[in-house]
This record gives sequence, structure tokens and C-alpha cells, in this order.
Amino acid sequence: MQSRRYLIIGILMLALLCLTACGTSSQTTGDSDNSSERSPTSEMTNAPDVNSGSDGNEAIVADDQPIAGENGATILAQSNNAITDSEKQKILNELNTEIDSLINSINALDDVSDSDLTFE
Amino acid sequence: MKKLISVIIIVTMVFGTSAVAFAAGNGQNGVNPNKGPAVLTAEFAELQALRADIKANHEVLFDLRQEIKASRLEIKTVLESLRDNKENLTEDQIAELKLILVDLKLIRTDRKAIHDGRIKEQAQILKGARANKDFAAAITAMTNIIAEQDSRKTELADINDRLQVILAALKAI
Repeated sequence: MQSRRYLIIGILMLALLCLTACGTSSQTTGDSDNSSERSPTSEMTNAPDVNSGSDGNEAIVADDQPIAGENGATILAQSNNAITDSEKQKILNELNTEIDSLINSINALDDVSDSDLTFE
Repeated sequence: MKKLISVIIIVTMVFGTSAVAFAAGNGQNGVNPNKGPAVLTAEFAELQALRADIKANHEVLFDLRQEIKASRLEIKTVLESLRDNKENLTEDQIAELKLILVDLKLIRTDRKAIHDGRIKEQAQILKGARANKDFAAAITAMTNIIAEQDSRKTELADINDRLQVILAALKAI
């Protein structure tokens, strides 16, 4: 009678453990799904893995690797945008202003008129 | 004793005043009354020759300015094209543009070495010489103007050469 009670307690504990483990597992799967939703490119890279017939767990692992690669590509895109269009515009404007100032200063140089040279 | 000192002071003052008056008289009137017609004719001929040189230099300087203006127009056209495609400019190209900007600023700084106002200054001297019929002073003023014009010819030609280098660098971007 007592051993049956221990058996029931043991089964209940095992069931509890299983439920807890499943809950954690489903949470992990949900997170990785979210991350794949954030990055459309990772979905694209993930697609061939799914088509190749790999199971769900392998797909999750494969999902993590391309995301790292795509992150690198994203960083490259950000470095291209390190100089904004307004900064480029500013430099081009400065060049324009500088060339105009130079020409104006040359045009403003003093000169002598022909009437000043007349000596009769 | 006091009388002696007073006499010395008076004599010194009289001689001093006379010396100053003599010097001023010599410098005031540029026309040498002892100059003969031949000398005056020669000076006048020299003035005419110098005047022709100044006019010729003036033409050369005008042409140089026109060349510089043309270079500016070309540079501005390239800059306009770069502005239209600014989204395609890379960091390296922007770095190149910044270097070009430094070069342009340097050219403007060097331009200040051209002595602005020196020709007007000599023109004023020339005006005074003409009023006094002082050919010698006029010859000096005109010679100074020509020297300044020669200096400007070199400076402006150098500026135009540097602008052409900048234009080539901009076109290469």
C-alpha cells in the first residue's frame, strides 16, 4: 500500500518534470521563431534547409548560423551610411563656396586704367 | 657767457632751417629745370613704351582671369554632377573631396600673397607725377606697376594650373 503511494508520487513528479521541460522547450522554439520573423533575410536562408528535409530542431539550429552572417552584412550597410547625404551635400557646398570666394578675390584685385597712364 | 650761448643757438637754428628748406626745395619739384628738350623727349618716349607694356600686361592678366573663370565653371559643373549623384559617393571619394577642399583653401591663402592695392598705390603716384610733369617719377611708378603685373601673371598662371589639377581630380571621382 505504501509502495503504491510512492509509485504514484514518483509518476506525478515525473509528469511534472515532463510538463516543465516541454514548457521550456516550447518557449525556446517561440523565441527563435520571433527572431526569424524580425529578419526576412534569415527566413530566406532558412528555406533551403527546410526543403532539404531536415527536421524542426535542425532548422532552428541552422536558423541561428545565417543570422550571424546576415548581421555582418547589415553592419556593412551601416558603414556605407556612415556619411549621410546631408554631410556629403555640406562638403560639396563648401567646395562651391570656396571656389566662388577664390574667384571673387581674384576679380577684386586692383588695376590701373588706361586714363591713369595717359601722360601728355 | 649767456650772450655767447644765445648766439650759438640762433646761428644753429638759422643754418638748420636753411638746410631743411634747401632739402625740401630739391625734393618738392620733380621737374629738373636743367633737363634739356632731348632728355625730356627721351623720358617721354620711355613713358610711352612703359605704357604700352602695361597695356600688354593688362591684356595677359585679363586672359588669365578668363581662363581661371572657365576652370571655375568646369569645376562647378563637375560638382553639380557629384551633387546629383551624392548617394553613390563612397567614403573614399568623400575623403578625396575633403582633400580637394583643403587644396582650394590653400590656393586662396596663397592668393593673398598677391599684393592687392600696390597697383592703385603706384597709380596715385603716377597721378601726382603727371600733375608735376615729373617724367622721372612717372617712369619709376610705371616700372613698379609692370613689376607687380609680372608677379601677378606668374601667380594667376599658377592658380589656374592648380585649378586644372583639382578639376582632373574631381573628374576622376
